[in-house]
Amino acid sequence: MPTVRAWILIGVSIRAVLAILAGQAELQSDEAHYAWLGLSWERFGFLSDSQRFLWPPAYPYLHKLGFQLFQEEGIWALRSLQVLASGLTGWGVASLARRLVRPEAARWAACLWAVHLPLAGYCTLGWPDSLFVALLLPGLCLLHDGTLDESPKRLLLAGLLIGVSALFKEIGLHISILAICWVFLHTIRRGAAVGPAPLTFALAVALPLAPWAARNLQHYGKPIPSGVTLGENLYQGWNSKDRNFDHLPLLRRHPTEGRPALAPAAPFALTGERGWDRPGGLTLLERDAAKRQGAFEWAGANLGDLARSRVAKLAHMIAPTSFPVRHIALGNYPGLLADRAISRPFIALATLQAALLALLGAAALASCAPRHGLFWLPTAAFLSQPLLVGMSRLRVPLTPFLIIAVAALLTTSLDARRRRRAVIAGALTLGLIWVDLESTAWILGEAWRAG
Amino acid sequence: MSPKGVNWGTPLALALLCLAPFLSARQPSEEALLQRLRSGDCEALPLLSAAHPHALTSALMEELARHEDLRLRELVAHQAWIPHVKLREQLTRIATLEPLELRERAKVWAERRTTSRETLTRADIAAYWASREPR
Repeated sequence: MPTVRAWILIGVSIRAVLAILAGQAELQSDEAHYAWLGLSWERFGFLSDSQRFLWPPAYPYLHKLGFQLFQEEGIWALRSLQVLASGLTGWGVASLARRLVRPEAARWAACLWAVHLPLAGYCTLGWPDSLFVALLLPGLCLLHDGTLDESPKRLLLAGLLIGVSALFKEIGLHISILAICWVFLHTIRRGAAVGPAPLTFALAVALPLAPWAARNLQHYGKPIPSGVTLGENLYQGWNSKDRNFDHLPLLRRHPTEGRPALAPAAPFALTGERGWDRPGGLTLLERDAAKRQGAFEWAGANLGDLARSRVAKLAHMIAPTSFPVRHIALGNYPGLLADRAISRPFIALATLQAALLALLGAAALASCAPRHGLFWLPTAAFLSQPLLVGMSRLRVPLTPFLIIAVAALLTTSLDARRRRRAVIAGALTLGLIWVDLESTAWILGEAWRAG
Repeated sequence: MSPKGVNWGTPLALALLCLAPFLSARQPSEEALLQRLRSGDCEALPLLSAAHPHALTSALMEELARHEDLRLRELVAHQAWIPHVKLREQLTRIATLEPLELRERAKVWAERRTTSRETLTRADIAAYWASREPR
């Protein structure tokens, strides 16, 4: 079996080939919004909020930088950066597996990461998830080592990487806060005095966030450290209509009459009644607060719907489809990836890999995943995303942790009790795939016929 | 000093660095921002939008639409004016922008904004770059 380094090289190469095969794809939904923000920043010198939310600034900034350095080709330069940075993700996956599981798990983890097409395919897309995990995973590795030897350099670098990751995705802020709490608790549990080392980590996390928070204090009167997306996510996710972002853009391309009525399995489907409209407001923060209030009022009046729809959201997240497959279905790829000779094997393999990873990942999480805070804190944070909304893209940052868990499964002999837990978790995951089967099958069918 | 060489100086220095950006982070007054905007500082627009939304009026938009600075004229089409100025008013104002190339470019900001379902396309970006004035 190739070494970890070789697998990382293979993984980056696969992503580079996919990016070449994808070509300069048409922009879809948020991809276009990020490009718009970057273009506007380059032109007018400021990043504005998006009226409905304020995204963390790093990804729009890279778009702006791309436009400044490469003019209209800037977007594609950013995709190339994502391919290169994926090597850091591969390294992070293998290193965490080595540290948190056992040395032989590192090769398995690197191998699984390298060939996992749904994850690789995201490097060809304009969402910040690829770069987010490329920062988070090395940050967690350094944090692990830094807490062991109290190396100030490692803790400083870990804090900076994790802090910068929160400038890419808001969930990075939640993980940062959890990581800071973990570092302090870890120090206390060891019986050591809370000295400068954990404080160094906490402040290193805060350092990259501080200028952005200060800027937001000036703009909004509130030191927003990452983004303001909760209200909009609650509007989308705590409402009477089930919005599945994997099939919505595809559905919208069909004429209203004759659109398939896709819904989760009956016990988890919502009727679409008793919904609430997006409220107005003069400023972003007023609008966000109004949406939060609307969501909590809806949830209070519809607790049953809220609970049932959480199952549907979780099913959306683990459904064995992905945005690269959706891009094929939408006909967004102008390159060879749209050719049936390539797209069909890609769709088949990506679907199989996604389903296997969900099943084995759940089994591994329930039986033999590493019992370490630095594994479970981010994993739990990513698994809790369907509390708000659900779509397959939310699985992107979770995938490296599922891979690490599967690497543990492949290198651990399970006793009867653990085997039972693994089987139950696998069966529950199969049930979740069934909840979203109609929608998943339709997306895959659309992608299969495209090209 | 701890056995590993970590001293309190590192967190202290980091704390000071974290605090430094906040020292000058005060919300500027409406008058100061309007002055900045009129003198060509586009960043005053999102500040006005967030901190003094009532200052963004149709009259101000009309004034900027005739500004000698091309970039300020183009800024009239930015989504940061919404909802303080109605979209219909904004589109009406954009239709009067001169020269024609600027008007076409301005449409990218107004019609492909982040709340629009008609999002930015590759062709829009290519057309936008082709119409940029020399710097």
